[in-house]
Amino acid sequence: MGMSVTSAVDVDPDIAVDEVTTPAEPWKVIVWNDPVNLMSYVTYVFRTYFGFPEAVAHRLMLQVHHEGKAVVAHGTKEEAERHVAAMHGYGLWATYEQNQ
Amino acid sequence: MALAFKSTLRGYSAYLEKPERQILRSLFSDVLTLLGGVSPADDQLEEDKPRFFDRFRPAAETAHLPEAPARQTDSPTDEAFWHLVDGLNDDEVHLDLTDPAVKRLLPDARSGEAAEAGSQQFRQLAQDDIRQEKIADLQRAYALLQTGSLMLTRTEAEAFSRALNQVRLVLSSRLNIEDEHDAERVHRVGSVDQATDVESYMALLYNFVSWLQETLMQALIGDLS
Repeated sequence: MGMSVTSAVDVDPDIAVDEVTTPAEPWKVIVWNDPVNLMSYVTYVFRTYFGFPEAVAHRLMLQVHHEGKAVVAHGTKEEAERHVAAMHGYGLWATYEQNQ
Repeated sequence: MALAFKSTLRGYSAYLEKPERQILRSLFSDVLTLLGGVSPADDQLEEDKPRFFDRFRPAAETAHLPEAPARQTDSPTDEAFWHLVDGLNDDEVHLDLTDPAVKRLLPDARSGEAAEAGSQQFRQLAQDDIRQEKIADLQRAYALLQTGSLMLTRTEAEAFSRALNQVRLVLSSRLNIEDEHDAERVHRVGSVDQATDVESYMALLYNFVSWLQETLMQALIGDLS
C-alpha cells in the first residue's frame, strides 16, 4: 500500500521519515503441503486468486509439494491476513508470519 | 454411474445418479454441521437420466459409487461414521476446535514468532467470516444437486469445487491421511462395488469425491488459458 507515501505530504517530516524506514513488506504468506489438496486445485487457486501466470502457479504448487511449503505473497499485515483468510476459504493450509 | 465434469458451451456439465447425490448431500450436511451451519430444506431429488449425448461417454469418464456396507452399531468407529453420514440437525452454533476435522477446516493462521497468540487473534478477527463463506459454498453445492444432470456456471463450479474440497478434508481427517503414504494407502482401496467395512467404504467415498473434484478442476483449468 502506498499510504505512508501519500500521507507524508501533509505530515511532520520527522514522522514521515520514521514511516519510510519501516520495511515496506514486513509480512509473508506461506502455503504448506498437505496430502489432500489436489495439485490441480492448488494450481487453480494460485492462478485465479493471485492471478499468477500458469508457469508461476505451477512452479509454486510444485514447491509446496516437494519442499513442504512456499511463500506465495508478501505485504502489510492486513494484506497477509486477507490472503490467509482467502486461502482458508479455499481449504488450503496457509499461515502468515513476520519477515525476519 | 457418475459422469465426469467437462466443459461445454453452456457450462460445466456432469451427471450424478440419485444415490450419488444423496450421499454427497449427506457429506455436505455433515461438514455444515461441523461448521455450525444448517442444510437447505431437503427437496425431493429428481430422478432423471443423463443427457442424450452423455450416454455415449467413454468408460474412463465414468465412476461408480460403492454401496454402503451393512449397518452395524456395535463398534464406536461405525457409530461415529453413521453419525457423520446421517448429519445431525443441530440448531446451536457449536464449533469444536478439538475435533481435528474442524481444525483442518479452520486451521491456525500464524506461523513463526508468537504464532499461538497471533492465531488466536486471527480467529477473533476472521474466523466467523471464513466459516460463513464455507457454509455458503456447502449450501450452494447442496442445492445444485437437485437434478442429476448438472450444468454449472463458472461461479457455481468454483463453489462446488470448494465444497468438494471441504468434504475431502473432513474425510481425510477421519481416515487419518497425514502424509503421502497414507494418501496412497487410501487411494489403493480399489473400485470394489461392495465395501466390507466402514473404513474401506469411507476410503471409497474419499476416492469418489477426489475423482469428481479432479475432473471439475481439469474442466476449469482447461478454460483458463
